[in-house]
Amino acid sequence: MEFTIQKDVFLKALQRVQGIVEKRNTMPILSNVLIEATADRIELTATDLEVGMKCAYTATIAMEGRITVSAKKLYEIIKELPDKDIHFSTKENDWVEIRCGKAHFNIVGLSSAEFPYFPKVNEYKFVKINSNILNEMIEKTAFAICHDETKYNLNGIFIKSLETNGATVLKMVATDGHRLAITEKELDGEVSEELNKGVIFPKKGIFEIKKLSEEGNCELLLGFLDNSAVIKKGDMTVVMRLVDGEFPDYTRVVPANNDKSIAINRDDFLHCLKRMAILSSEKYKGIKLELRTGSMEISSSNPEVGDAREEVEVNYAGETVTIRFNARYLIDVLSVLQEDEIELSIKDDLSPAIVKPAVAKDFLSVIMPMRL
Amino acid sequence: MSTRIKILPENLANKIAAGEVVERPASVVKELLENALDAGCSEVTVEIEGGGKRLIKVSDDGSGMSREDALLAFERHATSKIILEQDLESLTTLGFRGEALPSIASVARFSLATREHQAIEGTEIYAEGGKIREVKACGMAEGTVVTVRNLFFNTPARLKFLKSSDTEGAHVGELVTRLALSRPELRFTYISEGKTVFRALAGGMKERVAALLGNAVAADLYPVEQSDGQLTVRGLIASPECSRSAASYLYTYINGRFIRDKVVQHAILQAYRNLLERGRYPVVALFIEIPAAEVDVNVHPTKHEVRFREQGRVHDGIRNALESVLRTTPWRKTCTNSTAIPQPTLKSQSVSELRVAEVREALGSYQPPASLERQPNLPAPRELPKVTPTVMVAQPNLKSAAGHFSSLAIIGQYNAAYIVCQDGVDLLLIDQHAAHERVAFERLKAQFAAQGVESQGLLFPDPVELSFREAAAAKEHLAELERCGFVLEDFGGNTWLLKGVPRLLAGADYRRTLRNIIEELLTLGKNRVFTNIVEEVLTRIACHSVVRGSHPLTFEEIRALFAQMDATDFSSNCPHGRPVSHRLTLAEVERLFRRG
Repeated sequence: MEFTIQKDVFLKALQRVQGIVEKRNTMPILSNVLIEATADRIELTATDLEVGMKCAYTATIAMEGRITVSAKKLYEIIKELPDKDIHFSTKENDWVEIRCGKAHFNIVGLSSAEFPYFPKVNEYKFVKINSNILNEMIEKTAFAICHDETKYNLNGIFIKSLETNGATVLKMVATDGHRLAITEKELDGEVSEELNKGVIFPKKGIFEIKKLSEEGNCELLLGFLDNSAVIKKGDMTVVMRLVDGEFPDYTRVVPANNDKSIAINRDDFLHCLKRMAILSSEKYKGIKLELRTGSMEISSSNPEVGDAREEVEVNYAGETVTIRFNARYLIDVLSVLQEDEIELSIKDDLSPAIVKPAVAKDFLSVIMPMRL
Repeated sequence: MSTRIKILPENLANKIAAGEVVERPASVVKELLENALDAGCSEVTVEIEGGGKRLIKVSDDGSGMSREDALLAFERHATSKIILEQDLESLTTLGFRGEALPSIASVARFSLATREHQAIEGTEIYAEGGKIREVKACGMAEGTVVTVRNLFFNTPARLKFLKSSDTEGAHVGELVTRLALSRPELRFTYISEGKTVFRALAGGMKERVAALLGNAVAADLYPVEQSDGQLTVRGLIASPECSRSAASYLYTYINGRFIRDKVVQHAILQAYRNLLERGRYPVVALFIEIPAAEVDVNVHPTKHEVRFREQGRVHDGIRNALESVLRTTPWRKTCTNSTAIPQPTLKSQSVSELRVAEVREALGSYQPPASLERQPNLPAPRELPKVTPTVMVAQPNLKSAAGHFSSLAIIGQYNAAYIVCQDGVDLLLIDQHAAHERVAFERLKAQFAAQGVESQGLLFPDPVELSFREAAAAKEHLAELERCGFVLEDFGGNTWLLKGVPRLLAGADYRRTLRNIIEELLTLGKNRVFTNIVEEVLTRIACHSVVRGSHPLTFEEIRALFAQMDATDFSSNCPHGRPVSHRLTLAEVERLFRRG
């Protein structure tokens, strides 16, 4: 195999796959990137067996072929090469030669035969989603993803489509058992059977999708293949194995009768919380919210440092109620919302609270309080 | 028609009983020694040959028995120690089952010679394999002499399981040690293979320990004494330096009876936690006195295990008693004058002798101080508002009149990691990281205790399947679990719903912790698992929040650290159990230079 490629094209291609390649794994081939040269382009493939990515780039092919090399080392080399065309060729025993200007590298590769199979994808059953919408939905839910590996069914985002009033709605839900985030958006066109049932996208795959969708306004294609989800954007394909598990019934934990609610300016509330959280030592302390007629007092204390309180004027007329939260959970929600006004509604100091935009109906977050 | 169920002949019944009580020569010695002690003797001699396989002879100068009594003693369930059923609830003797003599007699060649006080002659009874062969009058001193020869001669199966003479002899020695420790007012002589192993004269606890466990151990022991009316804990406990790799140096006694009880052992180890490194055990001789009705010793024929009516209270009582001594770290010698004047006497006496004498002297006047009066001279940093503990740093002028650390003469810092000090004529090296770590740990612990445990509610209650025993324990200790942040709800059957977990563990494996806690509540009636986990987390925080590795300190900083150390409990070791300081005595230094 032999080809010539522009440095910045190759560098961008290698940068993309860095996130997929596992730094530490038991199969050495998984830390390599597969490079295939065909006709007028090269295709790069990387996978960790859970999430895989394949993308194509234009290059001048002198001889077709396939090879795998260490993704990290190759990236480091290409990054430091001068801004000239890079000449890439394979030699005997899977050795790879890279030439650029006067620089010359010989690096060890591995035979492409051992590289895991990457599925061939047909496009006819795909759902179209706008990248901006997808990006926003992931942004609004990903913060609640559970990072505890033992709760594997929560290590991702649950995605499901629903028919409501003749319109198709796409829902995304994430939870770590302490808080829950739900967001929904209308969807055009047909949806697949898998989406109707609901599927869990793995955490790592979600972050790859997010990277794709952040690259500008365009249409993304979403389809399913066996137990995997396939996302396509132009010449790029991401395949991820869906989380094999049951997502808990989130509809049950959304409280229906939280009768004490207040509307509050998001920015004011967020900054107030950030101020109060300074004194609530991250390791073992929450913050306290006290709702009284006409005001809400937010306070925190830390015997080592001191205490802090701040009063915010709110439109509240019910009985006085005190509730404690992990400040982080409130800050996370408020940070991803865009709206000016948000609504906080609670029932009592032990029941879950709801945080959502005051007007918009497309987002809702449930947070469990703490008790002392 | 003949019945299929038959009453076993007496002799067979005795042999079966012997299987439980008489396991090896040491168990014979135990039964005979306990009888001797129960008989109110003032001197007892144990003599063995062939590790006790060939001969065991126990002689005492106790009350003795009449001819009739002596003959009755060979019957099963014959005893003078209890009469009524109620006596079982207020046992004052070591034995009471009335099984030992006939059981031993049934598996050995047994001879009992006894003379009652003021009787003209003694009685000698010889029995073989449980059958009385000969009864005759004999001349002897007051008391009783029991001789057991050829143990297990008629039960070859048992005989085969005996270990070498050395091993069996070691078991006997250990047993005699245990009993001798418990009664320092009696004279004990132990002879093995014709050689006197030890002769412990009547005296105090301290002398007894020195005689049995050696002077080196005795020098490291500190007295404990605490009583809350019902429960009295006294004895001697060793400094953490004097630790062992096994629990065999835990001599624990309940109402004078040696026991190996997990509640007691756990309480002791809990008191020593954060002072000993993992896998190390302290040396203690602890005597627990508790009303006989509060404890049941009739759990097993060997009476090593006991049951407490309120095990949680006993556990805490023991732990508190030990902690009240350990907290003050009495093993840290305090020196009155900080200027060095070499003592010429050092040359004539060995260091260990000096130490023993010194500690003995200190012990004579030692009074466990009430915890608040611990450092009467220190300008009470504990009374400062807890919110501003850093104020201590701002008081560099605590002079030598204060605690141990502040009284040291600082020489300097070595390798930016160790503080070099002089204490009297000794050179003291202090690990500044370990010292600072202990200060931070104790402060964090006090803060945590003041705050209470926050419980993070769970959105999806976590069902936990418990066994019947665990479910019962969970139900009984629901309030205790809630105090630790675990909110549980009965879901019917043995399924419980976990609705809240401690904030501290929200990201960790809280289910396993919950099970561990319930298991401990089951076995000990007390939960230390959670405290231990919290302390582990705090240890980690403490370790990372203090000076680590090379960190140059000015004299002011060192003095501030010392002032904090003096105000800190358990200041001799870091929370991982590593020692804070190492002492090089003048004699040791002189020896290095061949001057000694």
